Amino acid sequence: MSDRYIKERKVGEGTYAVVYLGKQLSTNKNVAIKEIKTGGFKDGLDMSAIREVKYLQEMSHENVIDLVDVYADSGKNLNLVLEFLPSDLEVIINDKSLMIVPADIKCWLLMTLRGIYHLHRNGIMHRDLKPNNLLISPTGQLKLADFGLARAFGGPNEKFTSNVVTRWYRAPELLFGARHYAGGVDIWAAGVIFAELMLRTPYLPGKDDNDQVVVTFRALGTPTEKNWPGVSILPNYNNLVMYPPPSRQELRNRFPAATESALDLLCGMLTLDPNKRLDAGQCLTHKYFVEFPRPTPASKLPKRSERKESKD
Amino acid sequence: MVSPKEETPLPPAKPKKVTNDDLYRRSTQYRYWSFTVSKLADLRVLANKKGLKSTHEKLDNLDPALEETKAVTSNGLDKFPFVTPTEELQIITYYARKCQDLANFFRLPSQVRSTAIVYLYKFYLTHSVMAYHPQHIMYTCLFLAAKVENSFIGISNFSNAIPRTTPDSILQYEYLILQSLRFSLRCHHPFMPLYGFYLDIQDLLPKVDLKRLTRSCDKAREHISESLFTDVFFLFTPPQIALSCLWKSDDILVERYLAKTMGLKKRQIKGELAVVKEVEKGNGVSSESASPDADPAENESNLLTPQQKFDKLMITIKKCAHAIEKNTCSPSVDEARRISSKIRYCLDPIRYGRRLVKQQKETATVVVQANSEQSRPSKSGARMADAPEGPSKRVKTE
Repeated sequence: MSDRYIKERKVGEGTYAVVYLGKQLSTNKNVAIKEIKTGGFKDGLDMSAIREVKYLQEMSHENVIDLVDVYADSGKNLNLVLEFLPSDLEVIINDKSLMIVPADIKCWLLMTLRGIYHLHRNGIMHRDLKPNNLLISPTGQLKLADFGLARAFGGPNEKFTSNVVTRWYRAPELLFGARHYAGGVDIWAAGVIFAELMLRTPYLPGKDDNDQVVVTFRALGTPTEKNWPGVSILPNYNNLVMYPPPSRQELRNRFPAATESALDLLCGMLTLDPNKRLDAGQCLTHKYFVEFPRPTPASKLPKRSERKESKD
Repeated sequence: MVSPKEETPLPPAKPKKVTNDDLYRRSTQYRYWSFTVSKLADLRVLANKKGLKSTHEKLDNLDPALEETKAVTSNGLDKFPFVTPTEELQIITYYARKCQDLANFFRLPSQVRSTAIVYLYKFYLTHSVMAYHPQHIMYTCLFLAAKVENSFIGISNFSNAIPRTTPDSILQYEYLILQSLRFSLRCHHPFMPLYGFYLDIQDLLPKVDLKRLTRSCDKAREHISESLFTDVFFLFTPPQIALSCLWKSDDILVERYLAKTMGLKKRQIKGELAVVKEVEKGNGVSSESASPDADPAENESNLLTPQQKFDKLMITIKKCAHAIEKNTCSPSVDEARRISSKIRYCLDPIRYGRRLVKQQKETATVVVQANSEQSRPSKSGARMADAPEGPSKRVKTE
């Protein structure tokens, strides 16, 4: 046990970690302490834990969860002291008592993209973006969390696994089993989250991996060699139903509250060909972010009411 | 206890565009693992002292009644085979090279190999070989690096392939290594920057002979692999090392490329290089370029003329190239065996006592045999010929 932190209560337990709510004694600040089990694993320290430590140690950005400290306790457990983030975007999307206006969505998307931009500039892909991993601080700041699947961009000869990202947020190149991909997978996921924020319901909820392919391309059109050169050589590009790409009017009908720029940005983020998809920098400088309405200040964003929080 | 964020610099008051250099300065590789030459040497001396202390403690704890302890004491502690800082570095490098062989055996990518080797050197900035034998630490470093760099090998397969190891003998050091690495696992190696330069050179010098460029880059990769066995990782940034290795394989190309990036005309370069040579003579190698302590105000570099920038970079490149050549060491097997046996004595001083005792007895036997030699000359003659090969000779040379 550390003399600088105390663990107050257990709030969760995963395969490789137990999460405690605690306090940093010097500041009396709330912190989350992720105690990573080091013993009892056949292959030593868990890969997800290693990735989390590896990447969070390098990150320092207001839209990425802050790793306050790492310490070893007497029980030889590895403790990650993380900033305390009581809520997440999934909770907000699902709380139907909350009213969400376009300016709120703009702020959340902006914060998400800023975090992604920082990651990508540091050569890191998150590979598991979803509302549940976008945590919200007490002051309303959104922060990317859970780096258990993150990895660095690869060299020209490196092959990755395509089995990443939670199904509904999986980019088409991953659905096709690509062994080479880059930050585009995060942008796609953020695009799907953008859509989900507008719809207040998951945008591409595939029931299984095969259904995900159907759901994704029914909504956005099946890619062809014409709009995505090289797609046909990807491992899983076969037995596809060829859906036409949606017309602008169909998209307008699907997202009735979206402005034309919002739709432009959404389409840019959900471009099938990863080489043509917008990158984080292009998203951040998109006209959507400069047109009216201005994003809601983070501190004024809708929050889960206190009463509900205590019920948890 | 480690508090990784303590050294994080405060953000500037005015929002400023974050440059790639800024990003590198925020990396743990820069914040925790970049040193000046003298600081690095200090750390190693300190680690060595720690090792001496731990061996001394072990010596103090020996049972004074034992014959072996008496042998060690009467022999004199000044004769005890402690390992010197120079020997430490030699044996670490020996096992770093073994690590490379092992990584190649497992067909691991260069990223894993490099990270494992860097981990090994980092580990011995806070520990001494007198406390942990580098052979064991090396296995665990490679196993951990494979995990960190996405090339996971199961511990049973890993251990099965290495004689005299068990999963436990490898895993037992994992946590200690993590701690010694200050839980900072990410390593930036020069291979990626080299590939970047490879692309950028084609972009900037479109007429470049692609065969020559490819050949030079391949050669540079070899230099980079070799540079892992030197201190440059701790002294320079990865792009500096990459440029330096490329310069070692094709100086004309690199100088032309750099002149072009800095907006210098061809005619000017010659004069520049003369200047560089002058500076080099006077300066020697102090290699402080990558260290946080020698962090020159960034604005300063904006005030430099293209020529001055070119000069400055060339000096760094040459310093780095020099450091690679100067530091490369490849200890022989005999040398390694000699140091390794010293390590075993430091780790377990009673073994040294045992050796002394055995040696004393053997000397006595030889004396007895020598005395009886006159009566049976034929057999003992052969024994005498064996003697110099025996352990008594080896202990003397230590």
